[in-house]
Amino acid sequence: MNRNYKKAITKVQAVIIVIVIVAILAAGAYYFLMPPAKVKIRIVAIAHAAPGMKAIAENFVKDYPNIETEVLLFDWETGRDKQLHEFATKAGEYDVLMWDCIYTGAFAPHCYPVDDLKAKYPDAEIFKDYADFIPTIDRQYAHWEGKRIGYVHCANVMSMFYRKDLLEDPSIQAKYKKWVADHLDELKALASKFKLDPTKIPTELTIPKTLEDLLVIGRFFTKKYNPESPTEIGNTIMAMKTHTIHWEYCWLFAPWRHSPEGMAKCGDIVLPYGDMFTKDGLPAFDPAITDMGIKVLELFKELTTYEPAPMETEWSQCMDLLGTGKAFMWAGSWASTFIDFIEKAPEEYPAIAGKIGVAPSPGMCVDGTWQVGVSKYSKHPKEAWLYCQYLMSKESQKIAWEKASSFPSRISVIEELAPRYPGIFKETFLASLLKPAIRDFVPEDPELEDSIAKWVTDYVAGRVDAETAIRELTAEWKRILGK
Amino acid sequence: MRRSVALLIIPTLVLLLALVIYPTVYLWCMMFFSYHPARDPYPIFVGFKNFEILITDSEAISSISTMLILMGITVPSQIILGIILATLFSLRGTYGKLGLKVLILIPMMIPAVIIGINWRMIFFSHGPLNEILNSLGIPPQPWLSAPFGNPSYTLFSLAILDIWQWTPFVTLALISGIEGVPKDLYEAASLDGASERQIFRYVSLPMIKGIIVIMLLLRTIDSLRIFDIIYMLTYGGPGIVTTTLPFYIFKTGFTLMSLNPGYGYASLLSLILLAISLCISTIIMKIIRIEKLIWE
Repeated sequence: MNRNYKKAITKVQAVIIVIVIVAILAAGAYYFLMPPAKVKIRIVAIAHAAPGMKAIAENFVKDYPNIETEVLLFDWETGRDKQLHEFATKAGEYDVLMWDCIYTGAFAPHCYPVDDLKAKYPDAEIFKDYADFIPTIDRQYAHWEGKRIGYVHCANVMSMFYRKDLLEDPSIQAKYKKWVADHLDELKALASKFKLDPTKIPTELTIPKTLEDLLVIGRFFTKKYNPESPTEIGNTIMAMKTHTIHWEYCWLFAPWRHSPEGMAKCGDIVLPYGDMFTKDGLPAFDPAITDMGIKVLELFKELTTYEPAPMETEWSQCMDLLGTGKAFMWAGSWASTFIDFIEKAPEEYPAIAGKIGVAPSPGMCVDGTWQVGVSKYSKHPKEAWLYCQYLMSKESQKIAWEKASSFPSRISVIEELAPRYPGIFKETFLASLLKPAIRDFVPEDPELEDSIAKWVTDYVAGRVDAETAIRELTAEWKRILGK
Repeated sequence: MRRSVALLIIPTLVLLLALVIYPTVYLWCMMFFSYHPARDPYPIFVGFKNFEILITDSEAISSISTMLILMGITVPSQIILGIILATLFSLRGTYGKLGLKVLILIPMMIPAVIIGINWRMIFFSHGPLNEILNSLGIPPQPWLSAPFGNPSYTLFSLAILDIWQWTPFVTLALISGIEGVPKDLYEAASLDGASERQIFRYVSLPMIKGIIVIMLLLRTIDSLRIFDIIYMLTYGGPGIVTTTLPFYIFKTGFTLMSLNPGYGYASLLSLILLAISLCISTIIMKIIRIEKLIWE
């Protein structure tokens, strides 16, 4: 009896195992072999541009009902990392890629050339107004080795947001004049220390335009240096060990690089190397070429003293410090924060609503455009290309601006929106985009960013002196680039 | 019977092969290759080049020492604090034991991301910690960059967080150990005239010795993998002060933002981490055996 029972149980077990295996195989076959009703494309949408891309995707599926979209919202670092790893697996996880301009070199080999898409899917070409793009950024970041690899979706550029109510206050203006007069010698010495021009110390309170303005006006509005300051923090700046160090350093270095002395010592600015390199593709801040690299680093550290905890400050802290009225300005911000400080300020930052002015960042403005392109590994390149082109329509560009302050990359859209933002759209954002400071966008850019973040934060934390930091940074960059 | 047992084990074996054995073997092989996903079309065999890089990679060496220092601070602190708290919770006069036990569970239950965000706010320049210090006349400190003027002390800030998070785990384990000690041992000790301190030293502590050693082993292994709080609070900075080996592996293999990015070198670093964990675990296990020999 027991033996028969055991035999029966063994047979039941075997049957159960067979059923489970068959069920798994059947489900797999159904999933892989049954054709989907709609084509689904996965779209990478990063950081501040994400709300705009999501809104545009909702319109896209109405116009193309046979295409489904899944917009994947990532923060800056995660989006970059996930896409880089997708290149290793070539799994086609993402159909539409998105990259910061500095990663153009890293992403280019993995983007489907637009000319190939045109040849393969001629009926899918819905966008042809290439001449309408801002030519400089389109050439630089949407092309690689002569081929178009994508489109500029968000023409972001550095901008300054400041408390115009404080700047225009007559009593504060009077106090500023007196403060500068009382501290003039000290301020001149400070400017000379960083090889800035002591004759350009601003004696009137104006919108900061130069690094001298930034240094002095920021100092006036810092309570630590001026107990009568109406704000605690003169200028908020990020000194946490993240990718932001790269563009902040470029921002402060660029004015010298573009100066007659900089051009004489380093030669023309060539792409894809940009403002931090010589024409030979070597670090321009090399102490063997100039001591300005060291001076700029020291200036950066000086600016970090205008806030209490710079090494713990990153993007969201800068937003809050200006938004809650603690800071006078965020000189190294970006156009994409326009929506937070201006359009949506009554909801997000009521303390400063209506009180914020916009101007180009003092010195030079680094550009930071965002591009979209079709992944070479996409299983639906035609549909992905349709979406990329759809993003470039005038209507979509307007939506991207309204939802996310993604500055348009098309000149006609800029002209159309400009009357709504007098003094800002063309005079600030477009003007900055046409004469930008440019970072490198070589394939090795991620390593370069990490290297500069490490050495700059080491210096700001006091672990090394400025000369050691710049010397080691130079050596590392050369090693990374194989020079 | 044997056939049915074999059939039932097959799915587990398949999963083990796919999810454990294959990745491990792949890892062992990858350390002889170089592969940067954005630049290389496929892994390139480089022999022992990754080993040469390791020898000259100062950041890797620094990350190992940072990891060991962090372990050296957090593990003994957690064990000692755990013993103290467990003893206090187990004292006869302690009221509200159940409530206290629930309270100390809270740090362990909060997800790492929430802990990171909360402690970032606590450590912030205008955060509650600095406000308390200010009220005591101590100047506010940049806890996540250079507390008391020394960037190296940032490691202590991270250690505080790790100790706060995991001491309850040790405490709970020890409480259960203390509560598991037979009551008649305490009665016998009391009858013999032993004080509370002597009872703790000669009765409780020896009885929970095994749990202490297990906690030591578990916390040591866990502390060698600290990553989440570094990612949330300091991102390995300032400079490389708080970059531990797991974080360096993350940077090298995941963000590809290091001097030697790529899967091959990251694989080698992972195996180094495994080797260090095994060494330390083996040393602790040897100590346990030595203890057993002494007591036997």
